[in-house]
Amino acid sequence: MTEEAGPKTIEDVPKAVSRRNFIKGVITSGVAVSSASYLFRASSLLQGQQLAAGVGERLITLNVNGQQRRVDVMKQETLAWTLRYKLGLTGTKLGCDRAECGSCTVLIDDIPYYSCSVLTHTVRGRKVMTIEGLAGADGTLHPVQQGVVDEQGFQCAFCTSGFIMATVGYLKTNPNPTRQELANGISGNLCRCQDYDKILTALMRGAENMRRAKLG
Amino acid sequence: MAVIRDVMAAFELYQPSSVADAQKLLEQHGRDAWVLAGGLDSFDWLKDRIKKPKAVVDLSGIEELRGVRTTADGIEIGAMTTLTEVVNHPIIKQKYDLLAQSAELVASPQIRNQGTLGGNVSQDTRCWYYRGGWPCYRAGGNICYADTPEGRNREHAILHADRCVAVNPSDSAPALIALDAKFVMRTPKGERVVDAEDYFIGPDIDITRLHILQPGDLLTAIRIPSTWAAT
Amino acid sequence: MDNKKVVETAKATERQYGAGYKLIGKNYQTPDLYAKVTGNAKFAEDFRAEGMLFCKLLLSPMPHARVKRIHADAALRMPGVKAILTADDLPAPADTLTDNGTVIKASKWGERGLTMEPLYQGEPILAVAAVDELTAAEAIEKIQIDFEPLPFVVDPLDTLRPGGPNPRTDGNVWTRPVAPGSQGPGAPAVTELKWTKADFAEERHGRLPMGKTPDEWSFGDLDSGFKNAALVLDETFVTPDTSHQTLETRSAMAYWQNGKVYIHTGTQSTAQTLPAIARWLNINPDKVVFISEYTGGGFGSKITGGVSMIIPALLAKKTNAPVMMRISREEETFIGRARPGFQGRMKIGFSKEGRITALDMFVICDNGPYDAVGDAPSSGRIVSLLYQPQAMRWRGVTVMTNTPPRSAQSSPGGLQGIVIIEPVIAKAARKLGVDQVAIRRINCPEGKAPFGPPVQGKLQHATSAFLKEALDRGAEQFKWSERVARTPKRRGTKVRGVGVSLSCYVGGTIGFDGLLVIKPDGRITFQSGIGNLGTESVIDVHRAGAEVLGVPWEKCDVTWGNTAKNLPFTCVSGGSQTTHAMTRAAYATAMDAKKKLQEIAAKKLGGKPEHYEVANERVFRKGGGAGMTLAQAAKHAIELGGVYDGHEAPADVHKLTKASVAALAGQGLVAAAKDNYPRDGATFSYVASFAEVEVDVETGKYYIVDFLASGDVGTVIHPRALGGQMLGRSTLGMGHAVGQKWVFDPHYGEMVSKRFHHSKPPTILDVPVDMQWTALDIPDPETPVGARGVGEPPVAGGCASILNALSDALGDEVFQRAPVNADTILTSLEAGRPLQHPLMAHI
Repeated sequence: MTEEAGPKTIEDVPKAVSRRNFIKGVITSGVAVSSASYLFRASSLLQGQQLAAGVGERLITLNVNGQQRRVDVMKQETLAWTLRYKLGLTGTKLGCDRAECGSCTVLIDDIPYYSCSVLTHTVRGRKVMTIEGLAGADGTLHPVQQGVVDEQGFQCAFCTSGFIMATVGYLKTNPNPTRQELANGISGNLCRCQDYDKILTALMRGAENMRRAKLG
Repeated sequence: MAVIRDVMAAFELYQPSSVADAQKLLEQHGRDAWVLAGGLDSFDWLKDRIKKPKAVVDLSGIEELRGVRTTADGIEIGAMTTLTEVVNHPIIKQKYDLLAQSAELVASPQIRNQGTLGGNVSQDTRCWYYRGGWPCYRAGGNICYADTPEGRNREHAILHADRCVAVNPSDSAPALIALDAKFVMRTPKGERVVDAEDYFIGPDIDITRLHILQPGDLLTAIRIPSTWAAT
Repeated sequence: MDNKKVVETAKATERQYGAGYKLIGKNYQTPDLYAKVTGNAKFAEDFRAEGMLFCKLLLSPMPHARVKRIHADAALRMPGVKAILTADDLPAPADTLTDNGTVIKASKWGERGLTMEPLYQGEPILAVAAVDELTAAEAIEKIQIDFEPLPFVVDPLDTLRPGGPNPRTDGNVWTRPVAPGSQGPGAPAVTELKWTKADFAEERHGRLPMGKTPDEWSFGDLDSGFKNAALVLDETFVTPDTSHQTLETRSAMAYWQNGKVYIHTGTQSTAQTLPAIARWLNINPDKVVFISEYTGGGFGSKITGGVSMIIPALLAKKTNAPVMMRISREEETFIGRARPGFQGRMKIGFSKEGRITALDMFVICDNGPYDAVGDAPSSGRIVSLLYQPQAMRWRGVTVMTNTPPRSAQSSPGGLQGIVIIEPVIAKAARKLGVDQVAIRRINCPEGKAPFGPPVQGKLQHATSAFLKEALDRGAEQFKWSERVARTPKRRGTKVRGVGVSLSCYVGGTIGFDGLLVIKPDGRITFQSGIGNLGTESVIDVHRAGAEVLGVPWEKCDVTWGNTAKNLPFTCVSGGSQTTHAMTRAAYATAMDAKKKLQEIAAKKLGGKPEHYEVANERVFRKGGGAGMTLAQAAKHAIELGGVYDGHEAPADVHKLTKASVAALAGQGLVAAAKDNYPRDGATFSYVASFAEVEVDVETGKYYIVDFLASGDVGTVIHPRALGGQMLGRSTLGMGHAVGQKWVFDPHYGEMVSKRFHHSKPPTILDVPVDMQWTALDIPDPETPVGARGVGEPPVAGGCASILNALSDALGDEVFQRAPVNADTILTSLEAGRPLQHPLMAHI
């Protein structure tokens, strides 16, 4: 996935999108346009004012999935937004944006949070892990991901990343849970397909895979 | 002007590292300031664009507000201690399990990982008219939309209903009151300590807030005496 | 949250399905799974494009009004604001041309995406495109709209009242008025219906008023049925409006390139969304490319996507840039569809054994302000099938209100009808002293069971029904008799109750197309026009094709999710039709491939086609002898051309399939076929649902201790996916019992229950951690693969089994509407009768 360039000024926005850029983006296999740059700018309320240092966007460094990423972040920007729109990491989903559904769950220092309700500026110096950071560089799935594959967990999969991250975080505190304990541990995640029974089976299998991985 | 309930307005973000610095910022910005603890109450107001503070003072970098300390007679819990930390703390689990249990009732694991005890007791009511931005008494208007023959108020107050019938949603508050907790605040005039019971107020005292914190005040800690500690 | 103990589980033995099959009935890893677990699966809001703009919506603050003037100058002047879109910018809706050439005129009452006369609070009036969301939101706030308020109504009964307000200026109900001199009912039209003061006298007694209805049917002798009954019950029940709440909202991204529009959004049918977009934009279908490889839930709300997707499409045209429309959760509550609530009444006569001798069913369906949903008529059909009344009358009216638009939701009409009748049957069983399972057993459909409405005097019939067997098997596995017999029911403040419910819904359509290619490398590609919304039928049905061809699954690929990839005309994934319809199409296509293989072999190796068979990736002489691999046959197909490699398509397939066949011509052996198999009857699937609850009569809170769904759903194709539907859809039904609903402030006509925490879909803690399911695996005799659909049949049973368990625990004087919450229980127990308003909508 290409890293997009930083945001341009308003004057740089092309009036019409160039044909070459479109063709570059649209691959013949039909997979849609690759991530590219688009514009974010500070609020119009602050435009025209003498901007004090630090108002609007600010370039910071984030530790995401083990990599140092430099990114321009607005003060009011949430981690979910930064991940999805500035870092090309769309595996974390927005289901409600109001800390109610869990689709946006990521790990910060190994603890599950709703990234829609975390200001990106508060995670400087902390380790952020998203769904994209779980599998190995060679594509080997994380034991919890493998558990989902083993048991055909989830249906539409919109809630999947959130559930997997919540589980990985929970298993650090309780690696050998009962089904009920695991259910309590991931009770901050909604599945509207209501696949809970199969999800629990898949994630319990994931927990088992984790315990086996630790042993050998 | 039209209303849209999405996309937080821009604000300046301050991240002080001490209570003193936080207080200076609150004094400097006055009514333009918004205190941010865990954020789970704040972001709903801000994302709905009902509140658009110019300056958000983020307390998450203030170490002195975190942690559970043993005192001469009980424990003191920093206001920014997360609910998960309260639930899991060995002393709280062992001696003040009522608090651990009530904190565990809050919302969901992710919210407990981020939400703070201080924030939980200081959160605003969830009356769906008030939170929807309707201009009721609590919002500075002169009507209660819930307390009408047609108003929808199944989840509102049945005891001590007054001009406002909204309820306090805090799960930890009843436990703290039962444990005879004391709430420690830092005001522009210095430190102030009140009984838990007196921290929470009804519409007869101030219809616009559920607690006694005024702009410029900070809740810094909650002290629990050993009176009800399990042995 | 309560830490629920799992007290008892009726553990179904780990059943093996698919006896005698290699692929059918076996679990396997679907090809989309890797993308799903790694976060690589892209949903609509995950797409990005160079120069992409963002648009936000301005929603109506009023339940019914006319827009007099829009003051948008200040907004348009803002730097970064690129365009505004209003209803005046929408193309005139196009007429629909059906496959047999009939023209269905575009309805002037139809929903168009934006409006100058908002018909519900929350309806989108206009959209603003800007360089980012913050700018777009600020622009919206700078817009001032002058409204002329119009009368509004949120409760169907209030508009049926004499003198009551109308939700639209021209009426309040959908009817099909018969034009003078014409043969049958005409196109649906908005008309006005008012009941009389005398009709409304029933309201005083807490019973549903029953005035004149535009629709009615009956069969049998109702009067004598009631006269001969040992027990007659007359009960009123109200069901909630429940938002679909798909976890992925209907965000959409669109751009234009070389005169074509490209749209990314969620859907329940890739193939059928394309003609819908063409109609909404009034352009040629070959100017549309629709991409939807993953959809975050549909449940009936995204049958062909949603009309709101034209907003970014039109803004993209206006601005000459890609446009992302991110729909927020609150917006989704308004435009994301909901199940219509019913205000219903059943008068039922029972024999002393509990057999239904007469059933008089009356339903009011709250339709919202737009296109009529079919829930009311479906409810009558489903109830007549499921309970086999000896005589029945159904009356229904679909009423419009100024509330968000409805659509079908998993078992539309079926859930509502069954939830209204099941508590009456449970009550009758108690009064008659009959076991709850027994009373349902004697009313159960079986075989080619008849159902209403009568067509030309004759009842229709189902293809098959083995619900008695499902009921028996479920009762055994759930240990029904033991649970019923267990005493004491009450320990301290905790009371236990057990409940059972029948459930069913339609389970299959016919007449769609399949398409596959056998490539020269020996791999088979199945072209799938099915939507990928989580049911896995998009892939599962092709296992039937692979089974027929005898090819290993490892040699199979499935293409799905993009209309530019040459897909056949496919059913929508709604109405539980996919597994049935598309296994038939897959079967027909595989048979076409087989026929072509035999013909190619005969041409190349001599003899007649019938001398050859297809197995083990080869076509060869029966009894051993000359043959060739499928790869070789594919090469020969290309040499032969014509019908063998897609240069000629079958005459009877849909024109979209023909276009796809032509596009694939020359790539290998191309097989395409329309499902022309016969079918005697209409296809349904059936479920028997069992539940145990524990209620704390001191707090009113209850939890579900145990649950089992026992299904008669035809041949099992994919056990794990089937389990996901059986339990997942049961849980969706449970939501109607445990808490989901709309709440409206009736004075302002505004919804107050907009968030997940106001109307919560069941969470992982609302259900037992060890739910059970089982399926009979008896093939439906009227379809080649024997498979029927399963998405909807379990839904009603999920809800009604909980309600019946609650009334078993608490008695019959506690609730008369769903959902049942703690305050309902406490206040009713204290008063000795239900205290909730018996009729009012949205409380």
